Amino acid sequence: MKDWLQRHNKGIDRGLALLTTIIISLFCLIPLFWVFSTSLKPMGTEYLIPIEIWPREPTLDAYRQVIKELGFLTPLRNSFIVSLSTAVLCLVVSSTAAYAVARLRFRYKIESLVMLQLGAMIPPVVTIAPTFVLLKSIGLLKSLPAMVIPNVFYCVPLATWLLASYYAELPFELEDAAKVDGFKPFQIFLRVIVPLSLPGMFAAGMFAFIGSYGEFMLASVVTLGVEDVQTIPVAIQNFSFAFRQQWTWISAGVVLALLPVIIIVLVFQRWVIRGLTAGAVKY
Amino acid sequence: MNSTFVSVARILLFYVLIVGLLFLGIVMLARAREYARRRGRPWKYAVVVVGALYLVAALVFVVRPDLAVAPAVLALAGSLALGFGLGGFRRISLREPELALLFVLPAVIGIILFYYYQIAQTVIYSFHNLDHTTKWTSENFVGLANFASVLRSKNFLTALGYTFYFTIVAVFFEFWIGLGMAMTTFWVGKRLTGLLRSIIIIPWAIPPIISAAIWKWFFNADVGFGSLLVQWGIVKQVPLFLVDPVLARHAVILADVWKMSSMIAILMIGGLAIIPQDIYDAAKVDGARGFYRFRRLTLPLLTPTIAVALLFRAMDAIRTFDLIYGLTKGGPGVTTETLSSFAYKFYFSRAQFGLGSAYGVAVFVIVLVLGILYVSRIRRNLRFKGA
Repeated sequence: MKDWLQRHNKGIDRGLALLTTIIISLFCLIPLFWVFSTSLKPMGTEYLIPIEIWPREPTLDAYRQVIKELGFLTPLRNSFIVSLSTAVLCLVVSSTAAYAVARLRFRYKIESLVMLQLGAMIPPVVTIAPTFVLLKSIGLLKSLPAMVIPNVFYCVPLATWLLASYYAELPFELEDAAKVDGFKPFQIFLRVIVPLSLPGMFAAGMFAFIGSYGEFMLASVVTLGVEDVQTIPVAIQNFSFAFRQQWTWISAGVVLALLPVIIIVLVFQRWVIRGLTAGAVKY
Repeated sequence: MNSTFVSVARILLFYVLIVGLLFLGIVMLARAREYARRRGRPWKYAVVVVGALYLVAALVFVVRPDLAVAPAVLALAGSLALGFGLGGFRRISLREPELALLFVLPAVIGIILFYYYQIAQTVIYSFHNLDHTTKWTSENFVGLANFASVLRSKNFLTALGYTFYFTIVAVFFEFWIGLGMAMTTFWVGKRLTGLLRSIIIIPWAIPPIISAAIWKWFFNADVGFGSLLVQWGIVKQVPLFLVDPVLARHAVILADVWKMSSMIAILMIGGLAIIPQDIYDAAKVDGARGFYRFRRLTLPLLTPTIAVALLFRAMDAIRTFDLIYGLTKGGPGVTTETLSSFAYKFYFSRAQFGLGSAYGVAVFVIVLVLGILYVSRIRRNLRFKGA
């Protein structure tokens, strides 16, 4: 027995590795699988007992109905508009701030960073009421910009930190060389630093995208029930309220809503980990 | 659509204007201070007075935005006059600290406007008896009455209790599961690492309200996980995950653990990645292995990461809202209500902004304590090279 164990040591290790991978994957994916399988069931069969783990006759009917009859593409489009513009604006604001914090000399560097970071910790429920009143007084309720503008600043602290830690790793000779070449300070930032930090920008932008894609509290308050400006989270919430029993529809909506996020995560997995790690824990 | 465009353009213009004017004012005042140092006493006092005007303008803005214009204009005019008066009209190019100011100002102003200013507003609301119009005057000022009624209500204690219970239990399990997942990704070998990490991140990236919907279906009383257990003969009766108070409380926690273990795992992966490999090699030579290596090496080396991750997660868990709103709406009864979900209910279901704000302030105070701990922990990391 002992001999056998030793001879097959590598194989056993590999087997155990595979096993734990499968267990963790099951933990992470079972609820998603459940929704996915429901979304493929013909309408009404989701309540059949015994429960079908995988539908006997999978169909895409639910997706067709959700898109055609319930107009699910509108919230998808809205969410994309909101998240993309949030990400872009957030990058504009935070990349300059991060540059100042990481590479320029000034006195209140730590204070401004602490201010940003403390701000990020404030629970949304503390600020939501005055923000609602503010947006109402500017007359922005029931519009997409009402979600974009606050979201930009909700994303700024994390993005600033990510970018600052990215900038700090670039060699400091860059500026000196650029100065010798006669670049003005602002040109140094735009022509030297920004092109070199594109991966960091991308990661930070992605965080802003994912964050604002999932933002619910503000969106639910601001839309005031107007369907044309609903984003994905609000639409899903309203769905699961309005069609309480139609879980094939809700599931199809959920799957459609998750597709972009999952694609992004799978494609940019490495950057997510690097970015999040730099953002919260870095020594 | 058109009117939206106009108001967005107006906001943008306003924002740029504020940033520009504030930048101009502060730079001129800073230069004036430098010149004043050479000129002697009276000029120094003038600089201090103008600086105080900025503060007054900011404070007045919190209470009565319309009255803040006068001190702001005065402050701006004062700094321009002092700056040009003392320094003359020479053209001076921007120095590095001034450029830095210009670069951080857009972010800082936004953060002040959307976080700090809003908190001040919430605190003011919490002293008044308000409906959704939030027109606070001296007439509906109620002092601490909102807080008193919050503290006296039984629901507040239930919510407070559940908020803490939720935070402690959820973060405990998230920590161990997350740490386990993170260590596994290092151990399974190169080929599986990428795949495993991608899978681990997925729950984290899912919008919270959508994960609530997913779990609502998973916990469905008729055909959910519970009936599956009955079908497989594991339990006799379908457990009513979202109806039974005790089960509901833990169902919410389970849903949170599923989503947020990933978050901890990601942070831990980062922490584990920076532990130098030679320490492990040395330990191997010494014959340390398995659990001993974990207890004596990994855990101590990981402590800073763990501290930050736990604080970060705890702050996040205390303000949980989306998950509860989507999954149970606080029910059955008020058993799964947290402080955040209560505050939201008071604001937008009952239109009692004053009472809701009192709940909001309560959340804020708790988070603030944790937040200060967190910032003092990470403060070291805030120092970037070249500072």
